[in-house]
Amino acid sequence: MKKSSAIILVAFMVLFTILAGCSPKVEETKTNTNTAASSDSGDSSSKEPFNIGLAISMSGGTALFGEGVKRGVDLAVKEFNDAGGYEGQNANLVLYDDEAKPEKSVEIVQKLISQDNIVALVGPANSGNAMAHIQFTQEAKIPEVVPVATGTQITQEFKDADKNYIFRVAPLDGVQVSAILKELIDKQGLTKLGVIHDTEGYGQGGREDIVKQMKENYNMEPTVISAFDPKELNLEPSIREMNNAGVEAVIFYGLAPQSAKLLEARFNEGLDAPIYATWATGDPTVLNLVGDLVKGDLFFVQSFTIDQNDVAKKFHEKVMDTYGEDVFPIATAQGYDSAKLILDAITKVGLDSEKIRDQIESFTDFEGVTAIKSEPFTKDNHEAFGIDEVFIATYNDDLQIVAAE
Amino acid sequence: MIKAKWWIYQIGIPLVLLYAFPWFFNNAHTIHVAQTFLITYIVIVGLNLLVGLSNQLSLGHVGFYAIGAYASAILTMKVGLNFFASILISALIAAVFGAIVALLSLRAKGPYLAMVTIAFGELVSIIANRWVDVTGGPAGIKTSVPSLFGFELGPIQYMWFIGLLAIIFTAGATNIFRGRFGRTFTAFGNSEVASEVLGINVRKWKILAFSVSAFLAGVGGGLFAFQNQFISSTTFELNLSIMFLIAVIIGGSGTKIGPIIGTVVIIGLPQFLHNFVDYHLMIFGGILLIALILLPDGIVGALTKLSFFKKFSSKKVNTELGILHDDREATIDLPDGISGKLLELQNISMHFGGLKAIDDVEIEVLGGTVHGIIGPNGSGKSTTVNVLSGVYMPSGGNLLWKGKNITKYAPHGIAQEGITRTFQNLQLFEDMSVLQNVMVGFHRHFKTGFLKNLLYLGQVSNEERYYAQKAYDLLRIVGLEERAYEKASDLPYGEQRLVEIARGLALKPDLLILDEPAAGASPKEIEKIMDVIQRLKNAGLSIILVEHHMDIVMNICDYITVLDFGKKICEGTPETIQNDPRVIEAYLGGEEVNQLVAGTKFVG
Repeated sequence: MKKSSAIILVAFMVLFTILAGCSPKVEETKTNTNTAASSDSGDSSSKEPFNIGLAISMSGGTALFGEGVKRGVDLAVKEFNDAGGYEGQNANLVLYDDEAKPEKSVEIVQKLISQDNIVALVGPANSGNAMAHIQFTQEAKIPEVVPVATGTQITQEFKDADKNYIFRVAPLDGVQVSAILKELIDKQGLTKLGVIHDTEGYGQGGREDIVKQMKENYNMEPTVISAFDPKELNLEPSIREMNNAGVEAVIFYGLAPQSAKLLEARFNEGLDAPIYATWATGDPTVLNLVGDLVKGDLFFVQSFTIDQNDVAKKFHEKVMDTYGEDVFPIATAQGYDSAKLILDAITKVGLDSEKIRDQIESFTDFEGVTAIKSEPFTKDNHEAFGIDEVFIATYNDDLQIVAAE
Repeated sequence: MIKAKWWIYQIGIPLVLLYAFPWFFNNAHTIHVAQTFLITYIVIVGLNLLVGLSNQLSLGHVGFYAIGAYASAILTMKVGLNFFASILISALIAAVFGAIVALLSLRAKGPYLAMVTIAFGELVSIIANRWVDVTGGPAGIKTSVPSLFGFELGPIQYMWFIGLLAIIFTAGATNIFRGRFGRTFTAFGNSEVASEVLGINVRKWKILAFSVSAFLAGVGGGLFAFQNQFISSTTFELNLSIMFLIAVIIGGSGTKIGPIIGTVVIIGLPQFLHNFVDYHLMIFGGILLIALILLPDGIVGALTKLSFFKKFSSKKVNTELGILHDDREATIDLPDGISGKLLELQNISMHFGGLKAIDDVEIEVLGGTVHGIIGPNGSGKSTTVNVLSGVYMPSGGNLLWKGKNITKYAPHGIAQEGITRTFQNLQLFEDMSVLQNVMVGFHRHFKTGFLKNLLYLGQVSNEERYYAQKAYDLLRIVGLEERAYEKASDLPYGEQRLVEIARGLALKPDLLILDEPAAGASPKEIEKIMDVIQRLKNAGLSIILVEHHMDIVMNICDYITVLDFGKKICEGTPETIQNDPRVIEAYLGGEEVNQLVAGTKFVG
């Protein structure tokens, strides 16, 4: 018995090695030949549109981010085409839903690369999805701009590679924590800070960032840390803990549904200190769930508010004109800037993906609608938002998100 | 022995297709989808064994899948094992968890079992989510590029690798399907109690079914971990378990090619819906829903109902079992008869709460006799049979078998001792042919083990052929040889009873308990059944006959015990019983009993 299974195992291995020895080479992408052909033919009048990919969640927990980004990207593409495209060649947006699942994300990104021959990609809302698929965009030399996912590692993964193809126009976790701590400790001079976080990846990561940065930068520790189970969603005990410890401010790390629960709990229990949270708490879902409860003593990190400057105001009006509503202003704005980075680069250097990447990295005159700088990236920095580009925002009396004074 | 044809269909053609695939569809996305397809297929093959054959509904397969994925990722990345070795080890770990889930849910059936498995799947996904140090949680962990002998597997080689495994597992699963293991899985999926009284330890077999199924899910998970060199806990959620189950059902659960078709549906279909960004889930869900409603037996099930395929498939059953010859005298193997006390019931009581179903009953059954147990409705006859066959554990008293105390034996233990029974409310294995039903009866005589069946060695096919012939002989004895290949549930009532008798005989029992073998049968069928019992008696088989039909009892039985309200009211030869006033009173009254005895009137 053992002998025969051993024989089968060996035969299997041998057979496999032989067959694997002569295999066809995977055709990663046809993009290069495609763009080569189009740049060869140069000025020919009838031109096929080129494809820009968008792989984001249109369903699942982050679907609202996806919808917001989609509208921003759509607007950017429309403007690009209205302005004549690239030498008469229009951009075509190919959008697939990644269902907020990493394996799905890999599937559709590969489809975008190898079947839709995209020249560049606007990336996902979920950090896990980004981590799962960026190796394929990097390998295929397709520049990817991430409009939502905040996981720190995403842009670091290929930082030592010859060329890093991954960029981000979203406030990463570490930067958001820095911004909150800067506000509370540097600016307001507070010393007693409480932390409430969920026990999922988002909150766990946030707590680590908070503790680490307080220790390293201020040599302080949170007065009290309260974790909660996002499935139970009973946040009254956490609020009570904060009150008992007499904290001066509460840092909250959790996604939109939990933020809503926190505000309900605050309404029921009463909290003596203001809440400072990440941009996830600025998700319109929170407002939809709890309405007026978002008012007063609730602050969160933003990279965009509709009133931050004239450009932002104009952009908001444009979104309202086109869609009749602005479902998720910051996601739409970041999506718009992500796509605009790619399209502006194309205007400058054409449809070669590698050149587009180089151009995105070396912009000096970029004009976006978020707080993005005119020189957003360098070889070592693929983050559009550093500590200076994010700020603390709050809801005004009309329930709009505005910069906090 | 495995035939050449098998090699061509099971190994040759799939290998060629697999090898040719990347030459024709060479692009990263197609290769990726093919990998996903093959990985999912392996999981579905395992789930099909569990759900399709043994009717154990699992909604927790994502748990085994996740265990396979994380264990192999950790073994490769932290321990430094080769990826293939770590996949095999993690699949074994998953199999152990499969056994644990089976143990935890032994008593659970149907929706309760589904709930236990859901809880298990949820538990694993919560751990994957929270135990961030090990699993990376939702942010995920990286795995390495798979390599064999220092040779890194690119996407195409990896697809081939998965494909080879899929072919091997499919071949194994097909072997399991056609051998005694598949038959036993189906048997206890159809009727646990009937399997038990034929000597099948259902508990052990359930654990085996779960383990095998979990092993394959573990292999799938392990392969998945290296597909994208990244795994994150968001993958392992309940909806994945549901998709696995849908694939099994839509493909056609319990069929051999169901898993392929089911996997095509759940992996292939979404590929065509990518462009409907806002509606793709709705369309996909709608198609699945319609398919589930319109094709309850799955796509394969629906196709086999078409007359064209029906001919094809029924013909196949015939040839696969080999030609059974009719020309020689059918013989039954019976153990040597023993004279003297065979079975003793000592002060047996069976109480259900306050109800004394049987109370302090003493019966002695002598070897080589037909012992009748009669009594009016509710007198405790069925309870007695259930106690005798181990289905009920008596509340008091002892059961002695050839002097050995078997009171606490489980039904399969009692069957191993050589006692089996038929059921008043028929317990045939409905999904099987008549012949296969009888073959299950030979359970305790089969010798070949799981691995041999997996490879379908010569021994296995010899054994199969040997017992198929024996089963056929038994069918000839009860006169059902022409029905051998029909589905058991398609037979008329009386013939189903004969199948149960033949199935019981297959056990080669020392004692056969017939629980109302003539109930619901037509007079003609009763005649046939009586004839069979008479012949068995002549052959020297010890029988306990529980019956309502007085003519059968009085004509066949050597000795009769009469029960009423759970108590033995009298016993003796048929003549004694007929004239006992207590019996007459317990029944309907003197005149009527005489008519009953004379056979001019029937009860019930």
